[in-house]
Amino acid sequence: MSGNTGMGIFAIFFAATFTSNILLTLYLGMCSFLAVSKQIKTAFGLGLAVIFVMTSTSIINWMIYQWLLIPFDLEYLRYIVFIVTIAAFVQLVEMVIEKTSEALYNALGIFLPLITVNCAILGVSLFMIIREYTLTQSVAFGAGSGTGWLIAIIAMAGIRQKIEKNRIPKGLEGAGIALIIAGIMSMAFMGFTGMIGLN
Amino acid sequence: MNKKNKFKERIFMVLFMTGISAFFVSAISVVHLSTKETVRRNENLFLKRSVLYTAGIPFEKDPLEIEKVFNKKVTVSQNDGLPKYTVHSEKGTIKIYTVQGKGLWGEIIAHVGLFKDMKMSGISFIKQSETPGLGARIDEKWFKEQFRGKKGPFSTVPEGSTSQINEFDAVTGATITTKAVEDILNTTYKKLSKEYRE
Amino acid sequence: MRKIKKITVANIGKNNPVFMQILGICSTLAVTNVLENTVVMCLGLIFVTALSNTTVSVLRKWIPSRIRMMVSTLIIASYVILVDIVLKAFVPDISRQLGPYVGLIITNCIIMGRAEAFALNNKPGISFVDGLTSGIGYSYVLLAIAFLRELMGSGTIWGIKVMGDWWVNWSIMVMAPGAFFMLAVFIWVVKGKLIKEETS
Repeated sequence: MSGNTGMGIFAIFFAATFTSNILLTLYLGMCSFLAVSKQIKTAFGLGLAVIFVMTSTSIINWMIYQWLLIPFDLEYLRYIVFIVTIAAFVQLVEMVIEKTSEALYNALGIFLPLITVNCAILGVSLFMIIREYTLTQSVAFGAGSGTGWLIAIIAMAGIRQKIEKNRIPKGLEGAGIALIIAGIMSMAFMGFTGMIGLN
Repeated sequence: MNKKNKFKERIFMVLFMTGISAFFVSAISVVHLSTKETVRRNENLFLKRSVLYTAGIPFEKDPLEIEKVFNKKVTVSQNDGLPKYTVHSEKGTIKIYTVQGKGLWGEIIAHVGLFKDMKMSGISFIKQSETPGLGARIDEKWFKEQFRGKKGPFSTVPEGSTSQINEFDAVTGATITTKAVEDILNTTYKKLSKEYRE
Repeated sequence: MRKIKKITVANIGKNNPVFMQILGICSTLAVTNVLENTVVMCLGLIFVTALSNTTVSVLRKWIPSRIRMMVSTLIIASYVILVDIVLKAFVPDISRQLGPYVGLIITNCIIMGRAEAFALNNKPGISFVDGLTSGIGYSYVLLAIAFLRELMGSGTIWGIKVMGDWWVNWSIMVMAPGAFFMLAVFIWVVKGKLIKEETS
């Protein structure tokens, strides 16, 4: 782990949450973002599930990559390994929740299948490898990205609920206006850059 | 569904998954191993091209040509555990250092070429993982070309307004990356200034 | 034959995955600030969609339904690695620029969506066509976006300067929000047209 160790975990967390929000600057996780952001409640549920899965899988994938794939010279298989880990983890969590807590299953369970295909989860695992993060940095990055995703989807859901009754040009209804909102939010999030002294 | 059937189904699921994984993994491994040599050669060629570019020596696209020019003009040595290249060009001897520093997302590694009077022959980035379209634009030609003939320590000015020998254009929207490049160059100058005075 | 034509028309036009379903913009939208990268990404995507659709379709009778998503993901991931290796070996410069984005083709919802909705219930040949045309329908939208973003954001096309000195680059176009606005305007134009057609 080379020159990167210096980057504090707080800096990584905040950068991942705000200035380099995985959704608003890298467009990862757009599909479920546009589909589920119609109501604040469901958005919140999905967001929590994303944080949980993102943080956990970034830890698991980091360990697998550093301790298994690199020693055996199998880095080129990482895409398969990562995605299978994520899919398996999500299945496992779904089964555990189903068995243990009905309330939690009703709240989060239905979102779990959606998460396997959420590009953001895999994205976090891939970026953390490319950026050569340490384990703690990866945790911060995973948790930060998840939090950023949650904030973005809740804000989006709030705005969409508000404009539900407004008159919008016909062609922009639905996805079109959502994208414009996302664009404006993306600009707003760029404004955080100065706030946390990253720039 | 009774228990036995369910068990059978589970076993089949696991076997199916294992079988199909094994098949795909071995197929990919074959492709990987057969292209490994090409990939390694590409890496090597990339470094050589980077050195020649940094020195400002024009070269053809053909790999053999690059190899020939490189072998004729460049000698490789070590400096602080990193490769250092000495290039004999028509404009004089150029020393090319491999330098590194922290960017926004990860390490930035670059080749920096210096003439005897510490003026830069050029710069080339061999590794960076900055934001595409923003910080990653340091790898674009307009950014790299501006360093030829300049001399540090540097300060930055807004994109498109550089006029002094110790200034360079920042990349709009990528303040941290620009600062990282500035730091890398200035540290290099600081480190080397003694060696060059002698 | 008629079926092929029908699918092609639907996937490229009225049922275009980007306009109508807003699917799969995640991974590829990020590289649309440079046209060259977009072309490579789109080619990779078309290749993966077509072949993974075919493979899933071939295996469709044996895949246990509970793990079908995992199996499709595995198949897709394998093809993506293949693309990655090929890029690394034959166009190393572009592979370097695309970085992790090639890997993200795996989670592109279009590929998964087509595998789920089409390949699991159809024969291999027609699934191949479906994958191919979905990929193309998706690609031309992204290429158009990339073309405009690069033109307005950097004043270049394919890295060659086309705008004169009078042109002031719209930096916002190269940055993240540019893609959102661009895509929204695209959807607006196309949907507006469709609505007009329907009412008249």
